[in-house]
Amino acid sequence: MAAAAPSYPAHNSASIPISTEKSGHLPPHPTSDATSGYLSALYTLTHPVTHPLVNTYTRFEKWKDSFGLYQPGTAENLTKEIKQTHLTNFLFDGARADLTKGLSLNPAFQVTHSFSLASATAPPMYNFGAIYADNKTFLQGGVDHTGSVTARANQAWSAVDTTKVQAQLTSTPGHSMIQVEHDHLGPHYSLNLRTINPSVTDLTGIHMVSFLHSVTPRLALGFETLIQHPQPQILETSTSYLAKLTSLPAPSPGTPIAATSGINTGAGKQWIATAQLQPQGILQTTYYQKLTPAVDVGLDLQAMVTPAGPMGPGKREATATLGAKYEFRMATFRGQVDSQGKVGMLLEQRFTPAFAFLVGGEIDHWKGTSKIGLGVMIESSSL
Amino acid sequence: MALSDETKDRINAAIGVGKNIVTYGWIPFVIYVGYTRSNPQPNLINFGEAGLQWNWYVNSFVSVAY
Repeated sequence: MAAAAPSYPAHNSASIPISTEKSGHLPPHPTSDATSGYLSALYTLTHPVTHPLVNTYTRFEKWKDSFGLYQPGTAENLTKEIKQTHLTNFLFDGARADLTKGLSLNPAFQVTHSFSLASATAPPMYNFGAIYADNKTFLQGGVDHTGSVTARANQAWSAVDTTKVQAQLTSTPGHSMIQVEHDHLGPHYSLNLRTINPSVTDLTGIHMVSFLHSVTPRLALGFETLIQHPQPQILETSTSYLAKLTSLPAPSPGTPIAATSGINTGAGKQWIATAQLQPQGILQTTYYQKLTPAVDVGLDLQAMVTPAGPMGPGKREATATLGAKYEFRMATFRGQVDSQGKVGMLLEQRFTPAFAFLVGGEIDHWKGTSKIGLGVMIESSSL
Repeated sequence: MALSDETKDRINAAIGVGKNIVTYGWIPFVIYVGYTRSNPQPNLINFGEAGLQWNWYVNSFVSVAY
């Protein structure tokens, strides 16, 4: 029987091959072999149930579209812009050298040798890494001088679904870690499911669910629930709440403001403000502003309020961090000052496209300590 | 879950073997995938940093030999 093919505009039915789709709400393929006959029967059978569901879902999504909602970006990337602006994730101490050999551009394939030494906190280290990346797949492997292997693999199944695996594998028992996560980016929401060190035999591990939904064209709200299940008898959950307010609604639903390319190319003085409330009484608020296309400023305020309890007296602490990033034609400069008396900077100067020199330092005025880092990055290409 | 201890031990042993395979095989795998899919395909002797000198050495040797 030839069923009338309904049109589902919001669904990416065209991109999914029919043989992998078993739910049956797709119109049958014109070729009349056994599989398509089976699918056609399944389709006819499930159509009375699935059609109203799909129809309602489509209309619901359209209704949400009419409010101008946008894709808010993942919960993990909530404070991505400020992390890129601040020095904290880039500063190092001691000396380091990164030698990169680019073997192919598209798809990208490169191997890296990194050396670091004379750090006050970490022992001298050598690391070999290999990276392969194309449009859908990202593979990264690294091994250091102790034989510890880091692995990372991302696979994009479609524009909205990505699965990521990362692992840290050592020969010392109990120090290995594996994390599997899946990102789903809906038209107005993002959902992330993550599990760390899952055990197949008794389902223990650390599991995480995070969800961020756009509620107005400028505001997105969400939550992140952490399920700690270290032993079959113990199960603890804790939930943090997330909010993100942006200066301008996204230019179009297809270009999320959270994508760095979206905000970096924006002409106006765009800003992003976020707040995260964590269950132990930690409130983190950030404010990021793009002053000019080359200057980013970020302010981060972290407040911790613990009431007096059996664990000890109550605590009230807060730290404010102000940082700025300047991008010049051949250099990047980051400067940062915080309310704990720390002042730091990092300059990344590129002398030629293949040679970059890094110098950075930080002074803690209250403790009277300081650290300094020097580095080189050399790239060579076989192309 | 209705898994006997014996089954659990077997599953854990299998996971241990799999972990070892990934530990030793992951970086060769990444390099293999990168090498076979690169465009243009890199020269094996040119692989890595030391390869530069190797290549020069081999080329000069070849040019002397002929």
